[in-house]
Amino acid sequence: MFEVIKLQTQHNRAIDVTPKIKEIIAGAGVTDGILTVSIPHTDAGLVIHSFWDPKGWDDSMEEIRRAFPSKVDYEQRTNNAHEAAAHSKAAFVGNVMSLIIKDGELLFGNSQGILFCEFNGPKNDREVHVNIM
Amino acid sequence: MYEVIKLKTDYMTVTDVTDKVKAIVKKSGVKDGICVIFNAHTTAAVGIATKEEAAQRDFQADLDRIFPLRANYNHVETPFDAAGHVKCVVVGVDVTPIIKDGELDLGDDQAILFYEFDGPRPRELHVKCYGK
Repeated sequence: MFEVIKLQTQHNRAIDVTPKIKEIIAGAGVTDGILTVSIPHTDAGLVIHSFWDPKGWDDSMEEIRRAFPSKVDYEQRTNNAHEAAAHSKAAFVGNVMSLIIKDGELLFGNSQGILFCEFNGPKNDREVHVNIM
Repeated sequence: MYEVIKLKTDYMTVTDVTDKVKAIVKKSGVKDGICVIFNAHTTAAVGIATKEEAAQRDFQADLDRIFPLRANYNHVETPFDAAGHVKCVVVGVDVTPIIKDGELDLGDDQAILFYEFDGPRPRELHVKCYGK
């Protein structure tokens, strides 16, 4: 089973996609299996974070921004410096994860959530791909 | 087949869990498939990297350099916890190596590692083998 979640994003903001993914799992009727989540973008990231405190997401986005400053002398030619830095950030945090479905639910710690990290944007054509087997 | 590995960690340590995962793969009887190793904590991570312990300590030191402990994080808890969340995000909490001929398909120098960014704490690592 394969589904696509569509997202509208803001620059350098993370979006919690956990509720939508849990909905897809509930609809799939799979009791025990593997959930693969991926994004088809090279300037955004997919991560697992503690969802309790959105300020913690800001910390992560800020730290990643500090580690990869948007600079104008990247070798690659892009529309703006944010996009060039976004490619490095995306490569660093990753874009695919395989998770465990147990007893019909996502096996997660009690504070874990899945975040889409927008490193470029704002964009209105972002996608999260969800596969269940 | 699904099992839990229980760990007891110290602050900023790296635990090699390769042998424990290999034992679960063997027990599962899966000959060809995948093995999902998942960490359900948000101040710890899991990865596949070199089994050399000095290099594992170097990696933790590099992470500390890139994401140093700060008192002024937006997330107000201990600096260890706040920085741990960031490290967890960038290192990741899941790996899915291949099971081939009943064995984990890893390189000779590769190990499955549990990274502790807070601690000391009791930790759990979830392992699911999937395939035929």
